[in-house]
Amino acid sequence: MNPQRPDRDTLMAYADGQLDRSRRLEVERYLQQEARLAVRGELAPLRAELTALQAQNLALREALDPLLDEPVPARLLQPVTPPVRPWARAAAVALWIGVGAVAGSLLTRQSQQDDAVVAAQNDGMQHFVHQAELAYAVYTPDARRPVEVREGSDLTTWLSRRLQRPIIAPDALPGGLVLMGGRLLPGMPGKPAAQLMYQDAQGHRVTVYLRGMAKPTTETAFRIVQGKQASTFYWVDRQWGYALTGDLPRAQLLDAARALYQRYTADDPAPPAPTAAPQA
Amino acid sequence: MADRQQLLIEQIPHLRRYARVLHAGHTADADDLVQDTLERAVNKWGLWRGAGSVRPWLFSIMHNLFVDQCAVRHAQTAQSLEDLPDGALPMQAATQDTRIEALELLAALQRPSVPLREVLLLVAVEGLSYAETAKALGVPTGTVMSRLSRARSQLWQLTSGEGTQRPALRVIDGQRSVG
Repeated sequence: MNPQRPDRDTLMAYADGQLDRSRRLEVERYLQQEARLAVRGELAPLRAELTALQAQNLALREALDPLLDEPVPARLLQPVTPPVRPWARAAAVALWIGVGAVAGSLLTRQSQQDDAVVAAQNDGMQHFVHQAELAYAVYTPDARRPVEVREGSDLTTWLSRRLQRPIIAPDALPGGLVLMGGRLLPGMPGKPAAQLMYQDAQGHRVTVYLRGMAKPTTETAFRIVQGKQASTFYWVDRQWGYALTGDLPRAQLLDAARALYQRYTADDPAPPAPTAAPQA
Repeated sequence: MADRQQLLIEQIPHLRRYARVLHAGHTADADDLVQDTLERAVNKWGLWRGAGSVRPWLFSIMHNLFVDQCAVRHAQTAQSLEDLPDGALPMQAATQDTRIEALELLAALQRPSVPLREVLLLVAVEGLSYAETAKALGVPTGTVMSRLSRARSQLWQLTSGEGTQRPALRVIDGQRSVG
């Protein structure tokens, strides 16, 4: 039996993925039959209309999807976010630093809901880590001009002004890492990112990459990514992403990352009290 | 508690996009609408009962708030959403690499009336089913489909001649008239 020619609504519903299986197959049978009868080299009429519908759907999504990546204004988080006690957040991260290091895992989350959030944010995270790795790979091998501005008060004043938030650049990090300086880099579209560079006595360089994220996080978590040249420890605290990249033993990077995290959270009204942090 | 917070936060970018389409690119108005929607969602959380996805439910809250606001603002002039003026501003896209075609489409998207824009966003962009869309907007499914059809025709007319193949919209089986 020849399949019924789908009417306009049916074709639209097919393009929108709204039909159940049997009606979908019916449309596909008609399209196949139409294709067999079509003039060679020409698109059969119903197929042409379907293609146009699908192209319009795709174009709409491509035009509107970038809106999803815009940073969310803080005021929109207020209705849904209960006030978070800084010590609780710090303790949670301290725990994650320990768990992450022991398990060496990317994802050890407390619940299914957490997983959903992680999945939604994964793309943004991957892009962030990629930018951090790229910045490390480009600037650490540079013998003559590894940094744009040498360490000193100018550096942090300048970066803080450009990123519109306080940028802290500790003079030293655990493992004998000494601050060399930093530079401004592209971050999110139209927004800058900061890179800080550290070096130890053997000449090993470690970079810190810091920028605003498209989406805020409700919970801070600590992760590690093993790249080809170097490892990156990274975490996102509210609207800001931090990545520490270097070709050093993982435990040493972890120490440096932990020290950096503590410096950045020390600005909270209540100091963090990660006394129960498990050993790495 | 944390459950609700995460569910809502995940939806904020989608709510902002819907509000932006409703408010024709007026970002501040759109974000006010998002804020009102989130507050109402938190207060009425018990009404959602976890049935189905939370997004269509939030969209219905936003739609109703928007209709209420329009009724107040346009009490003297407009009788329905259909009568609202076209969007004045092109919708701003944050990314720098937005293609020309996308910018043109965003501009064209401001032309159809609000009810037509809504169904395009909910079905074609957000991927809601016709039934979910009908429920969110409080109209029959048939209305959703006829609005979709009209919205698409208008967009095609507005963006035609730009190199994309325009379909022979009026050459269907002759049983239904377009628009």
